[in-house]
Amino acid sequence: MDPTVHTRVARRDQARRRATVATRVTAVAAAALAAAFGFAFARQGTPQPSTDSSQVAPSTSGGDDGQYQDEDEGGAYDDDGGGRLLPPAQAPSLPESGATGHSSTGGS
Amino acid sequence: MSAPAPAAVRFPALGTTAELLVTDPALLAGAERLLRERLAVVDAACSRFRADSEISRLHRRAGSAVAVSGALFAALEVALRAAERTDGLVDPTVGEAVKGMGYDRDFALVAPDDAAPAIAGGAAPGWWRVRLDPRTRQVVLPRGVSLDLGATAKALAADQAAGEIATATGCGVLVALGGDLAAAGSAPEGGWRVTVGDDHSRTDPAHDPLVAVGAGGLATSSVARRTWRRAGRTVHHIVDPRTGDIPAAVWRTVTVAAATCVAANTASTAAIVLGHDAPSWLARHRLPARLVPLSGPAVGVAGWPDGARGKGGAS
Repeated sequence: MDPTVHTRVARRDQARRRATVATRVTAVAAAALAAAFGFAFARQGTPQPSTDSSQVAPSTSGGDDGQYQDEDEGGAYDDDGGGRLLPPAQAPSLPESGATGHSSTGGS
Repeated sequence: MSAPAPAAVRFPALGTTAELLVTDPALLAGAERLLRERLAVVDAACSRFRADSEISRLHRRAGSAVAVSGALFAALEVALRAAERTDGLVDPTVGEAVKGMGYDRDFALVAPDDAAPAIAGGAAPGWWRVRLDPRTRQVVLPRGVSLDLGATAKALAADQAAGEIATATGCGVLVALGGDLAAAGSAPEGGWRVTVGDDHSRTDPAHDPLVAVGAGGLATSSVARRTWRRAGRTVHHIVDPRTGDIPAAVWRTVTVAAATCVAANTASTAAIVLGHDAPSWLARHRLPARLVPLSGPAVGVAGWPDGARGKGGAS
């Protein structure tokens, strides 16, 4: 398994242990759901790793999905490289006199 | 010879205001074009108020594996990561709960006061139920689950646009989408000056706190904006995924600085949900922040400059 995926899975497994709602679907119901939906959707009541290629079968849908296949951004955004809420390289400071370029932040 | 002053442009986008600043005024027009292109892509992918958006299509096909664009896939990945990092405090599966509060259409069309009560729908279904396959870029959204990417998609757009523009132009860039700011490239000397307030469109540099930022993200979440009333009760757009209701009223406005705008927005939203535990949570993550309570003095944590705390909430 790709190490990045492995790390994510491990982290999400931790989330699974922390979750207070963990309605486990019985094996019989799981099989029924899998049969009904045609793919591995059987454990949906239990917290799962959200990115797991083994859990999603090839799309059986038609329609217009194909129009998006030429883009290549998915998975490219990695804002901190480690899944943490990283602090800024430098904390905000009081502006020096003469500083230019002004914007604002607030509720939107 | 001193450098020219940064150039700026503002225009409406994503239901709020987009603002772009660049350190080289000659590059503003090209930078604006890149920003508009990025925002159009994000809106087409992530707007839950557009019937023709990709996320609306995903909702209609819940229960099926659906191939999505790179833009939507990236937004979903970021939203799920935000949920994971916050132990579910910022969970994109609150879509039905947000609708229950009455925010079921573009905010400009939400009735400001209605006799019908807001309906708290209970705990969100849970971010872990959304399946992403990065190999095929397919998504499975369980039936009955609605997504609201508002907490992270706008911040992601700011990060992406700032990075793209800085790379393309080579100059310093600040992108502000409502309260979400992302800076990339070389900031002007002394940093970008940012006024911090309850409402990004009504800040007053003469009275509100002013900070300088060099790079990364700065985001504000506030319960003083996007509010409406249901059955005499004031509600807003930030829902606690644990209850499906608005969180206990502790902070009016929280501003956070982080390495990225997504991280800043995730943390500021989580802080509103956390309530009294927010300062220690932010300090534990070493995220400089300013928290304004409903009443009393503003609080600064993790290196937020003392001189930029401001006067705080009304008493």
